[in-house]
Amino acid sequence: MKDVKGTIIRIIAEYLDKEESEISAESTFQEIGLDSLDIMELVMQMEEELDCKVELSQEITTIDKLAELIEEQ
Amino acid sequence: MLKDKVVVITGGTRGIGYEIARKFAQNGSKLGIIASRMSEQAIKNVDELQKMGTEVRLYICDIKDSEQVETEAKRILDDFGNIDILINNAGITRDNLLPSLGIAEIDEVIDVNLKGTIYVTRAFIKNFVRQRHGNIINISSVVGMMGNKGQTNYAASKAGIIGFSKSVAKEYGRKNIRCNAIAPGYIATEMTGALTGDMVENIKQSLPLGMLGEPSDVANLALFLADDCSKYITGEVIKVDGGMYV
Repeated sequence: MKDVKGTIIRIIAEYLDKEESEISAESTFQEIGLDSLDIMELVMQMEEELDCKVELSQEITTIDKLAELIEEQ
Repeated sequence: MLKDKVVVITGGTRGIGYEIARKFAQNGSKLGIIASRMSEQAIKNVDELQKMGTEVRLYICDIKDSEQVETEAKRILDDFGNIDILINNAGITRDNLLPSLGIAEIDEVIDVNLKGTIYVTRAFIKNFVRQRHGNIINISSVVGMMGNKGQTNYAASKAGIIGFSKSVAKEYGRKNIRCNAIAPGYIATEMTGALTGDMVENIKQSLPLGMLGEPSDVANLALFLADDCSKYITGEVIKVDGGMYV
């Protein structure tokens, strides 16, 4: 089982050119500085790396919630 | 600049689409041609394109069927690895006065011209986002801007393409993806070949430039919009209409 949350944080940190420690899993994507288009692009990368299919919805607003959604699969 | 670029053209085996395909082939682009059905003309024209020395592949796809579009788009991406330029050109007319238009004729025109354009674009947009560049050129019509009696369905579908193009331009501009529309006027093709001699004369007289356009007039603009020399142009609608709608 891959570390889903760790992978998400790494992908986002790389995208924003930040340290992984600077990314809080509880913050909303908006607070992290990601808009809907950024998230769409990042989710595409996550789907490839984690071999999953993500159906984004309005409720998925944080890394924690996104990780939960992927882990449920 | 267009050499080795992968260009997908819907309706690329005849009319304006075929001329666009020829121009890109002349410039050394690789072509994925989507046609609605296999025909002698389609095979012959693809053969002509291949003789120009570039990679050309033909895909048969009914673009109003979203599942077929997804399947063929995947096949195209598998064959070419990626695509750089998408030209949504496929279009049909079913002209009649509104009360005489059958429901099937309304649906078919909207389904192919507008929904087909949306489906095909949707099928390739993730590829464009992933590679952080892309160029979409949608063939609308001047009729979509000015309206035309007897073409309520067609005009609505072509006006819809303009709204769609502008929205795509806004949604994906930041990802280095451009989207523009071309609005041809009366271009001499099979589609306008159905007009009688008198009608053609009347049209010519009403046009400031006094003549019908040629498919190459549209294709030349497609080349310009596909090239980096138009890199600061997106969300634009450019008419190629001899001054018809001024």
